[in-house]
Amino acid sequence: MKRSTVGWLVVGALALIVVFSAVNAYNSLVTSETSVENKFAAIDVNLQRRADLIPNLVETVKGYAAHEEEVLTAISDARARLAGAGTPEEKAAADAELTGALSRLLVIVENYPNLKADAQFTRLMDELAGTENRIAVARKDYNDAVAAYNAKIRKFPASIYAGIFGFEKKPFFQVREGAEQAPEVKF
Amino acid sequence: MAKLRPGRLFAACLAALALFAAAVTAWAATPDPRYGVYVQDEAGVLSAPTRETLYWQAVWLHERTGTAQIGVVTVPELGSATIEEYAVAKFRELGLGDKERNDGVLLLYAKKENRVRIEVGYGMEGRIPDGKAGAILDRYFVPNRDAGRLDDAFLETQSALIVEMAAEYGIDASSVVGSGDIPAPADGVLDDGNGFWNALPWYVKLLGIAAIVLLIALDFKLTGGAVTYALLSRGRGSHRGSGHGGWGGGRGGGGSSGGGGASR
Repeated sequence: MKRSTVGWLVVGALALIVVFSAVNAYNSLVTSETSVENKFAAIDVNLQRRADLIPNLVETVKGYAAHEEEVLTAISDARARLAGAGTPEEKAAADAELTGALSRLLVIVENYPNLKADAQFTRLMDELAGTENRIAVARKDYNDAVAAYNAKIRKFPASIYAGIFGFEKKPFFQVREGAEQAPEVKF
Repeated sequence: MAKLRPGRLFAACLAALALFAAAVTAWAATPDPRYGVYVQDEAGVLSAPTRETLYWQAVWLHERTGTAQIGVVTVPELGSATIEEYAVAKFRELGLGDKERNDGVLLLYAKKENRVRIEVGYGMEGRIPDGKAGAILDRYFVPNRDAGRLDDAFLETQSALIVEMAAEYGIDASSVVGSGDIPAPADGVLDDGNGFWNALPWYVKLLGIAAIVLLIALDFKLTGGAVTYALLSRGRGSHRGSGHGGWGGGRGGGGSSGGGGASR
């Protein structure tokens, strides 16, 4: 074979390898990113579910503790804020606020034994606890997916293609510092 | 193979076999392989008859519905995890329920914390929402647990859960479970005959196969394959696979949970 033919064959083979590698990397990144979006949607669904439970809960509590306006209002406000949140960071912040307000409610409920014994209330609290747990699980699944995705776009050789195709790092679903602490309950 | 003296090869085989045996023993020591994913009494709080009943009721459910799986797990303590975190991890580890339908339920109890949780798979959440799970615990588990009757607690709770899960598939289980009469399995054969072999971790299988290959090579070198041929001709026609007798207790179908359920 002539020298130039061999040369072209080598170039052709290299080009094929590059194309293969690019297609591979792209598909892998797409799969990873889709998984992240999927997991985020799961968080969304559960946040929505909690938001839907809240009015029921507030009504039931009102039947026993109508004058606990401060806490009930705080819950309703936090819920509204959550409904308006868009980005993961906003959602995380609103989520933390609602969690804080709900934990305050739990403290207050201790003072109303009739409320605690109410079957409807027990069922709602189970639903709420279940939803909180679902949010926690969904959040963890999302963060795990984000970690895997972020690692992928940084690893070689996918890192080269990630930049070209426009894959960027995704944010973790993190709680704002200090939002974890429930505010003091004032009687 | 001029360099490989028979003595060295034999020693290598023995070492591989010893490793294999040790690995299997270590693996078999934790979870109880008799009951597969259905009963794992790591805390040792259940009596043997209770474990048997729980197991056969769970197998009954799985056979009648085809996919639904209920697991009962007790652990000595939760360590640093909450019972919710532990339950989700355990549920996914066991893979209760079908991969597509996610129709599994886990009943988890931690001895030290004296806490119980029903963890419901994605696909069962419609039939057993959190409120119902809590109600089941309040009615069947908590009174028995607080009175010190853990066997009854598990039997009644698992039975109630099975009734719900079977109802999801249009099956009435109320006359079958909880009565004390263990329902007989459909054809005497458990989920899969080679459950034991399949359930081993991959490295144990690899060691076992390596040991067997070494032994066969040694046999051919020393005796020209006499032992191997003898074994093969004897094995042909004898019963293959263990259909009954305790092994092959049942493996998870690959289902997952999202954190639904209730704790007490």
